[in-house]
Amino acid sequence: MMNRELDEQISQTLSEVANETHADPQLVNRLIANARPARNRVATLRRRTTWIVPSLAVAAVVAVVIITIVLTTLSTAHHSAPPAYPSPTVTQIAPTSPAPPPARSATPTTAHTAPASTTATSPPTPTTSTTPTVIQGGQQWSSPVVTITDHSLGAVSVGMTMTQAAHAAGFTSFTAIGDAVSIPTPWQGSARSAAGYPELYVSHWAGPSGAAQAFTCVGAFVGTSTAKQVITTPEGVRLGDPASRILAVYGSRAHYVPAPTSGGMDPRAGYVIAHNGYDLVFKLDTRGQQIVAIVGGLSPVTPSECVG
Amino acid sequence: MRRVTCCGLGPTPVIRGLPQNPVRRASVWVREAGVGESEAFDEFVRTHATELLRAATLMSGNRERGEELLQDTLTHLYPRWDKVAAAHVPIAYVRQALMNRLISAGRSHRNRHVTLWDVPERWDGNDMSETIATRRVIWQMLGALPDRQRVALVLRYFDDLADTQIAEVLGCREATVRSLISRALAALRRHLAAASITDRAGSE
Repeated sequence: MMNRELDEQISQTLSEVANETHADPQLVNRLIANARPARNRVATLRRRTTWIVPSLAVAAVVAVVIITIVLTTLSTAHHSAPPAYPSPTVTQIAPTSPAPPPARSATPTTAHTAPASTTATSPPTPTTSTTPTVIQGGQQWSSPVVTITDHSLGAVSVGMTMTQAAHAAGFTSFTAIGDAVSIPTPWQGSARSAAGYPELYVSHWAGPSGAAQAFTCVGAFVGTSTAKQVITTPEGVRLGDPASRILAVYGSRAHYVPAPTSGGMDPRAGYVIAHNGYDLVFKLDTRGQQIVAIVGGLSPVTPSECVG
Repeated sequence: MRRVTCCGLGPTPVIRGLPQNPVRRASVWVREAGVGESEAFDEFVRTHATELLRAATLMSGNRERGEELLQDTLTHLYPRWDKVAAAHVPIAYVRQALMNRLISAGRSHRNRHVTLWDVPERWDGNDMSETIATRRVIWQMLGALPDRQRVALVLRYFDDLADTQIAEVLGCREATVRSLISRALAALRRHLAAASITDRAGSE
């Protein structure tokens, strides 16, 4: 067979085969159907893969937003009692070594000057716990940590009657122990104070006394131990802290009040933070270096008043 | 000789029976790609199934293998049909994919060998019948050639491509194309001669 003839034969053969080749509808449908499942599997995987990263990113953003909102809400709730208080500059208090409790002196002292930058020579603190300060304490007075504000101590608020206060504090009743001061009935006697717990009380200071009368202030006086119960303000200033911490947290809002030169049941120097008709009062020891009592009540309250 | 170059996929083989304006067909497909990949694929297959099956059959050497090749290629292309649709001439893209897949698969498979006993039975010596039988033999012999040789013959004798274009399609040098075609033709001549001798011996 000549080359040209062979070329022609090949060309004709290919043309004939091509002309005889037709894709019938069944074949077309089969081609489409058989291709589609594989495509769907890959497409599904690709679609899933494509959306994984954006979905995770969106979920992360949503989670962060939710957490932020929740934390903000909680923080606002914690600070709702003293709404206008500045945010604490220090939110943690390093644990300090225990020290002998200060003696409660009834001896009038001479006028104090504002305590200089306290050297804080191992000031006593109510706890030896190494955990950070818990700003929001328990509502009941038996809680390990109880929050005191300018108008409340735990769930007990100024303006309650004694019965209301007792229930709010988690007790059946309060008992007057003299000088317009009342404490939970089970805490009468010396057992609790002997164990070192701080003294928590309500008082009708400067107001009419009586179980049906609304008391005017709440207070906490440091006990003989520093490890039993933490009394703290929402801003983190605790009973037993050094006086310098008051200025560190409240700054210029804390007004120093010297002890009266004479008279009074328990004349003391201290700091007062006034707000909305209530005073948050920090009573200092005789050296002016340590917080020995924290009181909240109807203004005006001085460091020498609302004595426990 | 019709020689068309387009779309970055090498020369576009001219497909017989189709409008000889690949650019126009390409623009149609580019627009239709926006309808949706699935719908575009379906329509593409329905429109070009015969042309693609012809190409696959000629390239692979027989109908069954052509169908298998076409199905395999379409299945492979379906997940990335947006890319196919975006090609300047989608059908040229698919034809190139057919050929690539055939040659790629052929490298991993042992080439089939056709013996003289595979020659068609219809070889009765009649002129018309002889012509038909000769073409059947040629077709069968084409199927016995290595894939690259057969594809080279199809591109030259069916798609009327020059050696330069065939070299671009196959991704080889022109000298390689000439070598492929030369060896393919030599093999065909040998087979045809043997078949002729066998037939004459049988008829005597």
